[in-house]
Amino acid sequence: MGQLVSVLIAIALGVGGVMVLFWLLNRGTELLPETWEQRLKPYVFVGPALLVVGLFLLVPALLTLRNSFLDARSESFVGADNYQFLVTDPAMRTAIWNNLLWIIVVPAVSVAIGLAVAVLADKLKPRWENTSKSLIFLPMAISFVGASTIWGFVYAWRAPGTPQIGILNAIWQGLGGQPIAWLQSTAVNDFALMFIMIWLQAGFAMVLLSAAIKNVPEETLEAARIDGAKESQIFWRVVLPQIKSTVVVVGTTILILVLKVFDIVYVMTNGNYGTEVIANRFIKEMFTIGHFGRAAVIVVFLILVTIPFMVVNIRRFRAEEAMR
Amino acid sequence: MRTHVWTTRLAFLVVAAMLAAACGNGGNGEGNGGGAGGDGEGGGTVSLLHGISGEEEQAALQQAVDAFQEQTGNTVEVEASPNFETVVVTRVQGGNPPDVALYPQPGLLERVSQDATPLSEAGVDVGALNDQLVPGMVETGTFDGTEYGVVVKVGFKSLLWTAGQRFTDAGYEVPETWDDLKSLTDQIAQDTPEPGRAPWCIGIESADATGWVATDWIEDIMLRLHGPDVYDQWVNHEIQFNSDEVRAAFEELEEIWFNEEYVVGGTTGILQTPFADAVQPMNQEEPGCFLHRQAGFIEGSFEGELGTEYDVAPLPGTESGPPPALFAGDLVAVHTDNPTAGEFVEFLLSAEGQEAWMGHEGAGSLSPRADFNPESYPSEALTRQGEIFANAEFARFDASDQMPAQVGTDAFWREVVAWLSGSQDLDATLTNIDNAWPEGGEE
Repeated sequence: MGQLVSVLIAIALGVGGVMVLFWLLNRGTELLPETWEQRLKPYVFVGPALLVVGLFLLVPALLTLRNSFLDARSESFVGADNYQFLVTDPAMRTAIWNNLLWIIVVPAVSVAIGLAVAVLADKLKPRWENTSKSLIFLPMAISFVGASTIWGFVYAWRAPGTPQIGILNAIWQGLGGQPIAWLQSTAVNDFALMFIMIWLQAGFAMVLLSAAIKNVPEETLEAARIDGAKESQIFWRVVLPQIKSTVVVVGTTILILVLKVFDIVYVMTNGNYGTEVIANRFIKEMFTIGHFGRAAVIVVFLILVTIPFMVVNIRRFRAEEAMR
Repeated sequence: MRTHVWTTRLAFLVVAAMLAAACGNGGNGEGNGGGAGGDGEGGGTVSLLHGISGEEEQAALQQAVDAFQEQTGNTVEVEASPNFETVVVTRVQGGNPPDVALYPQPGLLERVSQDATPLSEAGVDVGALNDQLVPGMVETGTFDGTEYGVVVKVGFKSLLWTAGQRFTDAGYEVPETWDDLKSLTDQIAQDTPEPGRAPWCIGIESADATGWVATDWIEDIMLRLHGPDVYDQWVNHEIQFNSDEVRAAFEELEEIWFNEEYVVGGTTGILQTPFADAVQPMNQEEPGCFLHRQAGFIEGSFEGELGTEYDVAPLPGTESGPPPALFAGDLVAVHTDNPTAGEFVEFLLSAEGQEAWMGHEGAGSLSPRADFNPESYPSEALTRQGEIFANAEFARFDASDQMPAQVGTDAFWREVVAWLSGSQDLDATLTNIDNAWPEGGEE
């Protein structure tokens, strides 16, 4: 009971406190002469938020950058040793290679599936459209760890000849094959893990792309039909170019998410069998091993890799806003 | 006018918050330490953080805690954390450490030893402990000449589990030496040609700790092949993984583990089967396997009775006679200058504390005390283990727990798993583990 009250108090003080703050700042600027008031007001309102962002995002980022040049306990300068580790350590190289594979496959397939469902569902009657879309979207509500547990059971392997508890192997053994160790076989395990992510993100892609598709002006489609275009031509030549910016935004959002993936790998294979990813190495370096220098260098690397995609994302966003 | 409305709402919120704060905190109960108010001067509070999982194990610990609280009138706030390794480091380095913590690895304690209180400073009589405990219990938690932790709970590992009556009925005998074990393996393999049946049940899957079962095997083999001195050199990296001695141990493991006829499910089975489920084939009517090597806790996974459906024997050494003992355990350490903490630690290591803890019905560990009566253990199996442990030729703590974290909980596990999955050979495996050893260490 005491905890519930504490939570409510925290919420009340948080919300109320911020309101009081802005009210006071507003009153403060109103007391100033007119010109000063006009100049200062924007900064006064943006100020607190900037301060928080600066304190909780910028300062730690700079500290991390600094730590990437220090040793394990962040005490002494080691120059570029950690950066050397980044490119020479075999586990890191496997991780970087795998991440590359992930960022090529997962956004592309998620967008493809999302697009396919959006287009096809668009042609159904409203009730079926809603049902099918909800089904595809449902997995988004599941946490990464929950999804990994579910799929862990789907991929489960038991010795040949013994009852299979994993549905894939149960079907496969039923059809007369030898159970496949999906998570261990290096040929398929990366894709088995990627599929979980796709399963989770396709719904997100579908929702945004569906809205974009519905925004395509009906006249352009009719004009194309009058000109004798087939449905597939209409899709590729009329619809897709008009929703291109949404596709890019969705793709880059999923891509940034993929760069951070670690829960799926951590839960299912712990990075073994060649499935290691960068964020999982970070967790190991930071918490299991306690080498803060290397953990910092991994974070710096992730930030650097993410920046280009964020820039693309924001540019597209701005372009869309400008068009309104 | 609009400001009026907002002001009123704001004022209301603030007043409500203040009222709630005043009333809410008053009714807060005490911590989850159980009843206080016994005899003794007491009144102190000590916080305990641990990562022990399993209902029975936690209940056993609680029994010792309750005994302490009753006897001294102090209160203990017990906190169990499933991610103990992460939580304890974060808390210790974040300046919010627990008073007392139970570390499952000496390496982890060494890492935070700068922020730990030496036991002598915490009021613990280390000299007396040296006399009362089995040799090695205090040394395990001694770093740079200072005692930071003491083994308070022992998990004995060098055990061979067999399929009980069904094992003897089939004409097999408990092996006296390691070579006998290998010929027995071969014999059983010939008797069990069907798929799904083999001499050994082995499973090492363990989420982010997959690999520890394999390292346990290798450590047991190291002790048996080379003895305690070479083992210690190996732990301190005075001999490399890629040396003749260590390679020989890996090759012994290879003989059993990589032979598809010796293990249920082969190497894939080893990698994919969770360690706690590994003995399932032995629980079948007609046993799917006859041998399993694992620490004492595995008894809970067997069905039936000790002696009938399953049995336990010491894992044999290279010659007949008392074999070496590999063990792991939890070390108790102190992080603050809370005077009650030292009292608590001493109690946990005392005869009554140990009796309450290890003697609890359902507990599965051995006591580090040399004078612990094996009959006090709650099960026949533990009594047997206690006797084996006490009579062992020599005992050593799990090597991978003593090595630096990037080896013991990362590279050693990871490379052995890669070796087992067939993606690299033994040479590469040993070299990779060596390369993961942090430089600037003790060489």
